[in-house]
Formats: sequence, C-alpha cells, structure tokens
Amino acid sequence: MLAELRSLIVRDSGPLPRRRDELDALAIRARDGDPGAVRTLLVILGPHLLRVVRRVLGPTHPEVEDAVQEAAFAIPDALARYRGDCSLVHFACKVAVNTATNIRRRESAAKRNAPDERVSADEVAAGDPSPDTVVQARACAALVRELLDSLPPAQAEALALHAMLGFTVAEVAEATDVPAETVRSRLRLAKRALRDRIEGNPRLVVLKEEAG
Amino acid sequence: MTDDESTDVLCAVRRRALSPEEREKLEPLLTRSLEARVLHYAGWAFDGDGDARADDDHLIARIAHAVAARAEQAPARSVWHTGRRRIGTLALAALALASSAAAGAGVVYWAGASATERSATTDEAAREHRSSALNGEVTSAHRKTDVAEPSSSSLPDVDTPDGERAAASATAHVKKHAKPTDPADLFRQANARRLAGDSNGAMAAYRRLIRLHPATREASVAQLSLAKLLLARGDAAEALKFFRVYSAAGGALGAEALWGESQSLGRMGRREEQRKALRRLLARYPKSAYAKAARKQLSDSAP
Repeated sequence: MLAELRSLIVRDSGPLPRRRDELDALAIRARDGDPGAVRTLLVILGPHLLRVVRRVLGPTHPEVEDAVQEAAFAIPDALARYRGDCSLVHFACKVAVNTATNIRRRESAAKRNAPDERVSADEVAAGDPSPDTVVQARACAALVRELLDSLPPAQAEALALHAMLGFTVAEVAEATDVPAETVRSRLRLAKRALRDRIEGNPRLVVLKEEAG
Repeated sequence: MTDDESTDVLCAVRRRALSPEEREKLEPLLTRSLEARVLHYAGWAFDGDGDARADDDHLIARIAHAVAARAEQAPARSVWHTGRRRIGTLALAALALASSAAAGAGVVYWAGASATERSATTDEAAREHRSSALNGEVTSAHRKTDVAEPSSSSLPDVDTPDGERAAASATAHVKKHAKPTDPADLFRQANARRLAGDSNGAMAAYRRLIRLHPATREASVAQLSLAKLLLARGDAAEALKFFRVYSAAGGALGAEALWGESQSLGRMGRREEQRKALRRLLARYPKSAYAKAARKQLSDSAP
C-alpha cells in the first residue's frame, strides 16, 4: 500500500497561480467599496474559497455554503490589511481557512459532532487507488481535521495552510505575514501533536505497521 | 534533507510529477516519518475534497452578488475612486475574461484540470490588456459605442445651469442606450447580465459578440457561456451545437465543453452518445473537476 501511496500524483490543480499584478488593481477598487469590483473579485476568488472551506470542514459538511459566504463577506474588509506580501489568492485562502477553522471550533465548543468522514462509493469504485488506501487517506484527513480543533490558533492556521492547501513553508510565511522560522516552529509543534494523535488512533493501525 | 525540504516535497507531490531527485527524497521520508505519511495520505484526501461541483458557479455568483450589494449600500471609502478610476477600469477589462471563465464554465478557475492552460490564457489576455493600456489603446476602445456622439453644434452651453442639466441628461442617454462593440466590452456586458440573473439579456449579448467578433478569444468563451445558459433553459439541441463548436476550436476549457456536451446529449435521450462523450472527457481530462461526476454517470448508466 505504501508503494501505491507513493505513486499518488496530484489530482487537484497545478501550482497556485500568482497573478499579483492583475488582481491588485481590482483589489484596490474592491477595498474602496466599488460594488462591481467586489463582485468581479469574488467571482474570481470564489472557487478558491469553496475549495478551502470544503477541505477544512469536509465536503459534506452542512455549513460549507454558510462558511463560504462568511469568508466572502470578510474579504472586502480584510483587504485593508492586504499589503501584497503574498498573492491575493493566497490571502483569500488564509481568510477562508480562518473562517472555516472558527466554525469548526464553534462546533467543537458546542459539542456538536462533525459529519463522519465517509468514504465515497465513487472513490472506491474508481479503483485507483485501492479501497484500502482510500479508507486510510480518509482516516488521516479526519485526524488532521480533528487536530485543528485543539491546536492553538496560530499552529492550526499554519497546519491547515500546509496540510490542507499544500502551501510550502515560504508560502505559509508570506500568507500569514510571519518569518519562515516561526512557521517552521509552528509546524514542528503541530506535527508533534499529530504524532501523539496518531499513536492513539486505532484507525491508523496499517500505517503504523508499515512504519515498522 | 532539511526540515523545509521534507515539508516542501510533500507539497510538490500534490502539485506536479516529481523529478527523480525529489522522488528520492520522498520515499525515505515516507518510510521514516509517520507524520509525513499521514500528511501525505491526508493531502490526497483533501485534494479530492476540494473538487468543484457543477452548481458551484451559481453559488459563487449568488454570494458575489450579495456581497456587492452590501458594498453598494456602503459609502465609498477612499480617493482611489477618482485618482485610480482609469487604472481600475483597465484592470477590470483584463479580468472580465478571467472571471467569466471561472463563473461561466463551471467553476474551474484554477480549481480543476488544465490549470496551466487556463492560466496561460488569462495571463495572456491580461498581458495584452496591460500592453494596450500602456499604449493608450484600451481607453479609446472603451469609448466606442453604437450611438452617434452628438455633434458639437447640438451640444448645450454647459456654462448655464440649464446647460449643465442638459449635458448631464445627454451623457446619461448615451450611457443608457450605448451598445458596446468592442469584444471585451461586449463580453463584460454579457457576463454582468448573466451574473445579475438576466439570462435572456446575457444570451443576446453573447450572440452579438459571436456574430460581430467571431475570431476573438472572447467569442470563443462566449460560445461556452451561451451553451450553458441554453442548456439551463432546456434548449439542449442548441446548447449541444455551441458546446461542440467550442470543443472543435480546442479552447482551454475543453473539459467543461465535453461535460456540457454529455449533459446536452443526456437531456436529449441520446444515451450512447452521452457515454461516448463522458469517456472522451475522462480520456482527455482524467484529473478534471468533472472526472468524478463523469465516472459516476458512466457507472450509473452502464448497460
């Protein structure tokens, strides 16, 4: 199974695009309250917000739509803090990560159970990768999501950007406006917490066996 | 391997095919580190969770409209409106194409397959607009209208209050009845109508764009947007025609066109042709945002 895992290749998109020049002019108008610019900007950023929220909450979570809306409403105000250190797309992703993480924390505080990490029949029927791998991947994703609820906010943000969106250390540093060394430290602590959770998780027994 | 390298190779494997050197780094990392293995597995699952869905564009358009409506009610916040209006207009013109491609073609803007192609297309459009802007071309193009400018002799004397009102009224009349002829303007107008829910107006504008500027990139994407609107209205036969025209031209949004073609065929009851279109979609764009839905439809309709 490990060999199969190694062969997994991206099935999402390529590198996150950096279209700083074009979007900056639009962002300025949106920040200043131009309704047309706000609409155009959100049509461009909308797919990214959806993608992020689905990853953080889970694609079947009942609050996906509300979370995207909340993030979209937050973007024009957040633009006042945007200094162009990262691409606007990454900046919007960060806003969406924080919005969705807050929703998870609210649910956790209210002791509401998040939806199960169900394995979709489509994924299994697709046959590539194997059903075992799909089940393990789902269990790992669930573990990372649960971990987000308990980590300090800054660590949770760094882990979400890295693990869920695939940001590199440098990209996380740019998006969160902190030094790379701080990001490394946050990720190190988050991974340590992850390891503790792995040890106590019976669903990941196969992975642990592979580690020997 | 440094800490950063091990972290970043886990990101790289989700974005592209790794080089042999990167593979050499990844394998021992996955063997050695339980956390890395969990993050690698989870990353695969997260990438799947982010897949776009067919109705995403409607959701995004609705939310964008709601946020824009709120912005409309709030007072303008800075002097950028006056000082940078021209720059912003140019940027909007460049982005109209990109934004419509995202909303009009099933929310695939960087979210699914052909990311490189799309990026190249939109970047190229933006570059062209930037280049034109530098030469002062876009501004003049944007002023073109179908409505004749009033002759100088008919212009009222704006030094008097009545003259000011008349001039304002004339300007408003020109703005209200102007029909843009520039492809970028036409495209923007059509997209604005579509996002505002005016399907008939949007379809008319897309048709006009295709008729007046058939060889432009805007007209190409307009065919796809028009096809989607036609399909949503139930005119599958007409939609099919435009989806196929777009596919034949080999546009960057080929996956969306094939998906639309398959859905049109399905609506018309041409099941076998629909299955062929779905198989073509999977063969050409196996990692597109529509791949999962295509597999499901194929599986559901298996004889």
